[in-house]
Amino acid sequence: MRNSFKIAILCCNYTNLAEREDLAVIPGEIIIKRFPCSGHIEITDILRSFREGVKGVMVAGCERGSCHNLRGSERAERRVLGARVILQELNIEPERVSMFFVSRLDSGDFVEKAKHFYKKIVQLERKERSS
Amino acid sequence: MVEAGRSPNIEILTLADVLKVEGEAGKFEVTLKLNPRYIDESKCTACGDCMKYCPRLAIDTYNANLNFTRSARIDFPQAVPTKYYIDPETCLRLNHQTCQLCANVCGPKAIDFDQKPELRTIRVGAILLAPGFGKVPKEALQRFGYGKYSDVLHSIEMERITCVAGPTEGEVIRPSDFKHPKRIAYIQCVGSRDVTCGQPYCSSVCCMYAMKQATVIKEHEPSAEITLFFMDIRTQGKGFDESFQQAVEKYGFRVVRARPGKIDKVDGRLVLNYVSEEGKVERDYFDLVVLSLGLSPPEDAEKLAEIFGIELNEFKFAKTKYLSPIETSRPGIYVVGAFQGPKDIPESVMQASGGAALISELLKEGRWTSTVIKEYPPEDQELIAEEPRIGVFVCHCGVNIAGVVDVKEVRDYALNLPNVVLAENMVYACAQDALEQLKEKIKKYRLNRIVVSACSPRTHEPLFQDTLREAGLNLALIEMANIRDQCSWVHPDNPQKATEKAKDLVRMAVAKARRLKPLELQRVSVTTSALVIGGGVAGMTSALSIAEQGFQVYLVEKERTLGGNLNRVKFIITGEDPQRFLKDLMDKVTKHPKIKVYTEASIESISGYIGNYTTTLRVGDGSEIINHGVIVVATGGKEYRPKSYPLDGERVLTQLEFEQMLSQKKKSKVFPRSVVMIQCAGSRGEELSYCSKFCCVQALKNALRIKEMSPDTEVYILYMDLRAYGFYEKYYLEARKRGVKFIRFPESKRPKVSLLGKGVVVRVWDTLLSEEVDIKGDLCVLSVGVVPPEDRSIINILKLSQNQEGFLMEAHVKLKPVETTTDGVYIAGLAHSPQPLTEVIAQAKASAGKAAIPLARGYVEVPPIVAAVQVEKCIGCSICAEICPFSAIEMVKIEKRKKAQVIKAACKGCGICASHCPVFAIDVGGFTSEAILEQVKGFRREEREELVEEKKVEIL
Repeated sequence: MRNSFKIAILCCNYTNLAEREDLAVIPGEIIIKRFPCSGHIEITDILRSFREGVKGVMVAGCERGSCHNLRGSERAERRVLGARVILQELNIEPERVSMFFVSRLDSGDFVEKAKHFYKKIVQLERKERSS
Repeated sequence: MVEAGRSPNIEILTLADVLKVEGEAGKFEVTLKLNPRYIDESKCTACGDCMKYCPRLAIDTYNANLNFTRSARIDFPQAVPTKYYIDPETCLRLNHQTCQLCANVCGPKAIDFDQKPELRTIRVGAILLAPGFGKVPKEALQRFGYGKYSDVLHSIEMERITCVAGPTEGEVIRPSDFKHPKRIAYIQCVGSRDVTCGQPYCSSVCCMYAMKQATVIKEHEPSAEITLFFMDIRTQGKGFDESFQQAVEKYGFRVVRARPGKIDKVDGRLVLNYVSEEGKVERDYFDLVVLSLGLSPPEDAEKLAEIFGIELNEFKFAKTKYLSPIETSRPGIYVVGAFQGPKDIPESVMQASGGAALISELLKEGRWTSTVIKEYPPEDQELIAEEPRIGVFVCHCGVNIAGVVDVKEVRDYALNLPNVVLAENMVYACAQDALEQLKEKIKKYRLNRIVVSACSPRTHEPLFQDTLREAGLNLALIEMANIRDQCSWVHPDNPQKATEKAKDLVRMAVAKARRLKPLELQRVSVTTSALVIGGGVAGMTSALSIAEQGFQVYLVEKERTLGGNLNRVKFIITGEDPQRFLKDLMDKVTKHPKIKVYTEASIESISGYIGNYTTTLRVGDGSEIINHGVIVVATGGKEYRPKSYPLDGERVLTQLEFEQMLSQKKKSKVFPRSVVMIQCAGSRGEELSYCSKFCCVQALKNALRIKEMSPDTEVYILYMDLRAYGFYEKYYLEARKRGVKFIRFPESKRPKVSLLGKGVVVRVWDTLLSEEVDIKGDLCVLSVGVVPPEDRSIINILKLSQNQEGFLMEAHVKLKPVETTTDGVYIAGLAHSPQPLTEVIAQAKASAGKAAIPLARGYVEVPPIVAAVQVEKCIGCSICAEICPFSAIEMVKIEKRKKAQVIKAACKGCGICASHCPVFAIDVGGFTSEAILEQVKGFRREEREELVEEKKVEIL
């Protein structure tokens, strides 16, 4: 399959209860990794996912102000920025890792965002192939 | 509804607001504001032209806002009064001074935009409040995404969608894409048992109605998969558990005990997250989610309370006392139905009859002073005697019939049948305006036999009979062809053949109509006294109410003292003292001049029929004969003693025994340290099949009592479903707050009780832990059910029908909950079904209300469809007398020969005697052998006749 890639979603346990079945519309393989809090997601976790062969990493945390641990998702955002710097050093497009703030209650929105992210990864992959 | 609309003694004031209530019981002065309908009721013929031409769309509030209607409209065709109205909120003329189309098209010039609100003062003796229930607060719905996702519906919307006359004509489709949903979820307890929206009580009816709706959906859409999410399954009414189980088995519903927290939407599908009983987080996908709404108090409850000067309870329902459930805090004002507390139809109907009894007590002095008696014109003997001139009326029943059967074809066909002079279509033959038309047609075309080809004579024949009488015809000159139930309902997929069948039925009905003979209506006078069997609280309440309404009562009790089971009840959950109530009641009953009490008495025989019963009593050694007009059966029930538990009355005892023990205990030091209560001990499928309704509340009551007396005592309640319905939920919450421990066990794993040393050990499967636990206790209290008394002699004498469990059957579960199939015999109390005290009192009042109807009227009208014996043919074999299920045939000597004689007042017209008579001496009125043979002959089609003749020719 030309458009089928593996991506990882790293998110906190509270973020959303969406499961694989919800994401079934996305043609690629999706690995969901849940953490006790998105603030617990380390840069190494993101990089490890790439080493496992994913083409993109989506980090999802609670919307600002609604984090169970107050500022966990903000910390996750900083980790994502850190990961991007490292990716750049390795000559990999930094957009392959992104931070998303999602509502705890609306898994429809979460799935939409995941779809959107996947499309972006597909575009990046195509660009890479053509070049 | 139609019956109430037709009674000359009921004036219906619609669109009315009550502004002021002054005075006191017996003489109230009520000021009403009658809002304008803008259509003159006396002129409107309900033709529907105004609605047809009305250009203004309006949201159809009757159909739960699901579709559009017009500003000039009628909510539904059977509405009473059957008159259109103009919605002042949307009407163009009323809001913008334009339009006025309807006024121009209205044939009878009924539309009047100059109508103004009218103030009216009426003087009444008593007031009965029945404003029903209100809407659930929006927040409770929005939490489940209602309003955000269009495929989240509430149960009232679903009710309209599944209704054949509703916006989708009964097709189950979801609003977002009009597709048929396959996976449907029901979420229970929306707006009930919910502290956050201020409605912590249980609405009692939703478990059952959700099951009903699921069944209807499944019938419309057999491939649908339906999941129901319950907290507890509260199907505590008579026979409810059984129907629930049957529905689950028959339709394969998935029953989940969980409360989903929220609804999500992913890719057009609705997603529910919930925690299963084992503690696992589950996620499931649905096409449609239905929220089972609870019953809220009316929105304007506070205003109502202020106007009527009554008090409300903490949930804004009308406040009543546990021991007087129909009386409000203001004398002379009564409350029935859902405004008194959430309840189902049978209970509401019961309360309504009870309310009527209370009013009849209050206003007995004024009885018959302002009653209008309906007068019929004399029968037109000349017309009846003429050659049959038959009028056939083919009903559309909206789309009920016309949707399948080609009614016009049937009409044209009927016109060609012999003796038919008129055949017409009617949209709703039973609507009030159609009945008026029917009368006019009878006069205009001099019809003397009528065939109504519509629905079931069981429900609608009396209505048409009444219309015939109003038109000067005998009531027996009508025949109905049931082309709704027997054609359009059973053959919806084959319209052509259904139409053929409708023609057959009409032809047969016409054939029978040719042979119909007028029948005489008979009146039998009534002995104005009542016999009440059973001196428990039901019997006494009923007896007292009948006596208060001014009639003699004979109260028969087999024990030495009155009081029955209530003697053993020491507390009531709401805090009243049952013993004082009982003593008061006993005092009133024994001292009442119109009540004669027989204790230690038994009934030897009862003979007669409504209005004229004769009963032989055995009192001590002597016997006594009493004459009375009606009978109230309140034979009660008794505590069941389950066999599968080591009941010893000391360590393992029943709730009643425990209550006795509690009432004797002063705050002693030796209070048991741990008490284990087991619900449904022996009930709900263990030894008895049914739920006894009150045992859960009884257990809560005693558990709270323990906690009050000795807060350190551990109380466990082991249950299957905690049925603390209605406002009892309050006590369930209270018990949880006080630290009573509740453990749920599944039906298949009942707790086991074993005696150990001085105490007991109960081994139970805890569904939350998913493992077995041993609970040590000093006492084990069993919540046992109720069984009917073993002595069935009275029931056998009266030939009353009973259900499998031995409780007496009512004539109709919903519409006639205290009547039996035998006229003049009414039931009350535990003999009917297990129920708590407050409901027993309401039911006893209801049976008193119903029993007083024939007593007050002084006569009963016997329906003319009764058996008649042709004396010359009768050979006196007495087969008929033996098999009559209503004992309505007696053998008498006529000119020294034994002959059968029908007691017309007792005869139900079932026809069993006629079918068994060896010499065909018995005919049932309206179903003579001659007419039935003619009807059977009518089944033969002309074509068939021709074929037969052709064959004959060939043979020759």
